[in-house]
This record gives sequence, structure tokens and C-alpha cells, in this order.
Amino acid sequence: MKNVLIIEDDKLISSLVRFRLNKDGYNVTTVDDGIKGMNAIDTTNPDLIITDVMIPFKNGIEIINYSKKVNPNVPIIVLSSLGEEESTVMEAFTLGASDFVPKPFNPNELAIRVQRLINN
Amino acid sequence: MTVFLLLLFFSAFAQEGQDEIDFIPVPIEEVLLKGREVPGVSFVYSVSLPQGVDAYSYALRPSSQTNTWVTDTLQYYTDVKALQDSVYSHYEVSGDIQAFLFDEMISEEGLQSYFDNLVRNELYIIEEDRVEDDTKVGELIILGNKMHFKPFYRLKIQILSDIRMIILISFLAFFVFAAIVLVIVIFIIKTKKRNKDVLVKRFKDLCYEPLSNLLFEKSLEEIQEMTKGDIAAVLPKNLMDNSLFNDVLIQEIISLNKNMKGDFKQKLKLIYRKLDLDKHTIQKLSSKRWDIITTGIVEINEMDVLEAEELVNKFINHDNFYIRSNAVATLLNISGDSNLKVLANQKYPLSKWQQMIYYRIIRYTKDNRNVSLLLESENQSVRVFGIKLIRYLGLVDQLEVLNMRYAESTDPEKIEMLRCFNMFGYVDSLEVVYADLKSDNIPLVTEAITLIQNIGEKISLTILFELSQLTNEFDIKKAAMKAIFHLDPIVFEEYYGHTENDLELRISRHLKDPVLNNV
Repeated sequence: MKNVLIIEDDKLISSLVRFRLNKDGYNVTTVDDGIKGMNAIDTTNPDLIITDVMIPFKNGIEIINYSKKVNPNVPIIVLSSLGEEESTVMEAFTLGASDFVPKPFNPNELAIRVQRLINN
Repeated sequence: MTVFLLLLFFSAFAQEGQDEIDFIPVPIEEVLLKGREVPGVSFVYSVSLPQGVDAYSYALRPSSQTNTWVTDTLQYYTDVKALQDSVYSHYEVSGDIQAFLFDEMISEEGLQSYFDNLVRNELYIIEEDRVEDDTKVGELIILGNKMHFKPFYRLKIQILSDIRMIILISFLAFFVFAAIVLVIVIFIIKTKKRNKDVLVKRFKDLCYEPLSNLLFEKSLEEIQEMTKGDIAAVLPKNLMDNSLFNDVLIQEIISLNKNMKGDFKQKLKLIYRKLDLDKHTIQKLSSKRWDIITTGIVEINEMDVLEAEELVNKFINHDNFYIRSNAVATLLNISGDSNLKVLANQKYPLSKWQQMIYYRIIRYTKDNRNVSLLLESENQSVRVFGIKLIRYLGLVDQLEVLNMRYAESTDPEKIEMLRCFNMFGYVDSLEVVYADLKSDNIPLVTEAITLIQNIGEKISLTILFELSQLTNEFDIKKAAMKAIFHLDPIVFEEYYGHTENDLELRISRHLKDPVLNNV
């Protein structure tokens, strides 16, 4: 069973995405801040990470940076609001983010992206 | 005030203390002559006698000084006086009596002071005075010593009989009472808030799974067919009548509605309606609290509760800024009013924040944007906003209308109109704009010059030159010279190339400098 780590401070969204990915048979871990996210990267050995850009303590960019140091092969999907700075999104891709999903998003569409990245 | 009362308080006690220390001193010699012993006090008698005299019989002994005889230390002054009298009657020499206090030599003043302290502190009682003479000094002290001493009682009586003390005590008591009440109120509020936070967190946790189930397990059609009871069965049954739970559920649905797209939005709105949460939202508009009314209006806006349009309409001119702003934003969003009547009827001035919010709504929701009513509004800020909309939304068909209205418009409107003409290069506006170059309103004049700079013609150069010569305002002179420079640099050189005016010379250099000309 593949492990997916969701780092998102909005618990409702993370719960909803977890519910959707559980349906597809993934083992999903959710955390609500950057520090817990970094710890979870070390402890859960995820096959894919979904992270918001704006999260407490450490932002999404730092998460990507850390994840790429620990395991450069883990794909990362960045969730972000429409109002997010373009430069932030560009930086996320430069650091190695695999995909970018702007909010509002369709959870089914996100699940397809997760499946595609994990299968690749 | 507090300092003043404290001063009164201490001055009252100082007065009371003064009353206590008043006493009449008794000469120690009077007491000693009565044969009384004063604790710690002793005497030595010394006398110089002729050479060869033997004074041992007087209990005297020779001292280290020649021909001087002294006694041992004696406790009773009367004994020393008797000895002195005897020596005097025999040798006609009186001698000296020296007092000692705890074997230390002491002067008469010192001895008296010591004795006064003893009496004052009731360490020495002159008993015989009470018996021998009622009028003697010290009687009151002795009588006082016989009475039971109740200082607290005396103090209490004094405090209660003094109006200043009563005021002071009342004042302090009020503060203590107010502080206690405040602490209790803070404690109650904090406890309520903490309990509410705990409940909200618990209710949120209870919402996640049912909402996820409904959104992912049920299709839109299935939800459409479900009754309120069917949906409520998924949710905690006993909480559906709980107002706080309904509030939390609405907030979670709105939060998801903002972050989800596709048919999830429709599903969420359907769930919201099926659970009669729209009624719960509409009820909030009847609240007396502005924050609850605002929350209700925002919920109506987010969940498109169209039937609440009339109710929200009542709040568009509410004296509370947040209620008013959200009511207008909601009506712009949910009503099909393309004439923006709700904005035109605004009585309060529109802030820049409001204008920004309304502009975003109009831009993204209104296909047919008609700003005519805004331009006719009695509210100047609404008319100015209407002109801004023409510029931001590119409503070029309204430029002619603006041109016709220009002469009768107020200065803030004219400034916006000039920006509009400038943005679209509306040449027909030049005729009406020239008249405003003589205005006292500097921003208006500079805006007019900026317009002329971009769409001006040959005659504009002459008008601008005259203006630059007549004006004393730096900003206007600079703007006019800049406009001439942009319109025709050759004419600019003719006008200002050989000017002797120092200010014009400096502006000219500034404009011609390739680095500084845009500063």
C-alpha cells in the first residue's frame, strides 16, 4: 500500500482529501504544520507528498526543499490559493515540485494526479 | 484624587499621633528629692577638703586628685544631698554631685531627657503624686495607665466619625469591588470562550466524515432525492437542533465551497438547503448583534440564498460599516440587478476598500454593466466610483456621457473623468478641459495638464505656456513645462531655452536630463 503524506493546515480539506485517497487504497497521513510535516517525511517514508504553500512554522517551499534532500525521488504536489505569488509557485517548481493544484480544486482531479505520479 | 485622599488619611493619623505624645514633663529633681529611685540612675558626691582632713567618717574616700574626697555610687539622691549638707555644716564646703546613667557620666539635661522618656513611655510611674496632690503633673498619665488601653477601638471611632475617612474607605472599597467583579467577569467570559472553542473543535471533527461521505459516496442526483431526514441521519442526530453545531456545519460547508470546484459546489449547496441551514442563516439577520447579522449576510452571499435578497436590502444603508458593506456586496453578487441600483442608493461615502470589493464583484459577476445610475447618484463617492468603473471595465461608450457631464461635475469627479479621457485618449474632451486650467484645485489642474500632454494639439502649447508664466505653483509650472516638452521639444526649446527665470531653467534641465526626466 502506497503512503501519501498531506501537509495542510485546513483540517477539513485534509480530511476530505484523505477520505478520497483512502477510497483509492492509499495509506494517508495528515499533519497540519510544517514542523510536523518534516518529522512525518522522516517517519512515514511517503511515496507522495501533498503540501499547501502557506502552512504554520515552515512553508511549503521549505517542505519541498527538505523532502528533496531526504529523498529526491518522492513526487510533491503543491496546493495553493489563486492569490498566491507567482514567484512562489515558480520557486516550488524550481525546487522540484511535480505538480501544482490551485484552490479551489476538484478532489477527484487531485486523486487522478496522485495516481498518475505514483504510478510513474 | 487618590493621592489627595491618602494625604488626608495620613494627616488625620498624624494629628491623632500628636494628641498622644502631649504630656507635661516633671523635673526629675522633684522626684529624686522625694527619696525615689530612678532605674539606672546613680550619683557620686565629690568634695575638696583642706589638707590633713580625715573624711572617712562621712563614707568618703580620697580620690586620685589631691585633697578630693568622693563617695561610692549611691542610688538615692536624698542620701547624697544629706551627705552634702553634713559636709557643708562641718567644713563649709558644698562639693559636687555628679549623676551617672548606667555608670556613664551624664549631664542634668541628659538626665532629665532620660527621665522624660521613662515617664512618656510609662516605664516609670510617679505613684506618690496621685496620693499627695491631685493637681500635680503626671496624674493624668497615672490615671491613664490604670485604664484599659484600646487603641483599635479609638481608631475605629475616629475613622467612622471622619467624613474624609468614610469617603476614602468607600473609594477604596469601590475599587476593590470593581476589581473583583472584573476578574469574575473575565473568568466567566474566558471559561465560556474556552468551552465554546472545545465544542467547536468537537463539532468540526463530527462534520468531517459525514460531509466526506455525502460528497464522495453520493451523486448530485442522489443527494437531490434525499430528504432532510436522510441527510440528518448521516450527521449526529441530537445535534441538529443545536445552534452552535449548525453554525459550525455552515462554516465547514462554506469553507469547502470556497476550496472545491466542479459538482462538489452544487452538492454542498444542496446539502445546505436540504438541512434547512438557509433558514438558520436568515434567522441571523434578526439578531441585534452586528457581528451575527454580518455573518448571516456573508453566508447568504456564499451560499447564494436568493430568497433573502429583500431582507438583505434593508441593510444596505445600515449605520454599521461591516453590515452595510457586506449587504451591498451580497446584493451585487446574488441579485440580477445589472443597473447597480443598490450602489446608486448608497447614502454613506464609499471607502477605497469598499470600492475594491465591489469592483471585483462587478467585474467577475456582471456581464451587462450599466453605470448610468451610478453617475446619477446623489452620493459623490458613488459617482466617482461609477467613473472609475468606466475606466477599469473599459466602458468607452460612456465617454461621451462623461464629456457632457464634465462641466457640471465636482472636482473629484472631474479628476476621475480626466483620468478616463487620458486612458482612452478621448480627444473630444479637450475643449471642456481647458477651462479647468484656471482652477484653484492643483490636483485637478495637474491632471488636466497630463491629459493635454497626451492628447493636446498645437493651440495647447500656447495655453500651457501662458499657464506656466502665470502660475506660481511649482507643481503646475513643472507639469505645464513637461507637457510642452512632450508635445513639442522644439517649441519647448524656443520658450525656455534662453529663459532667465531660475526655476524654469532648473525644471528645463531636469526635463532634458535623460536620467531625471521620469522622476
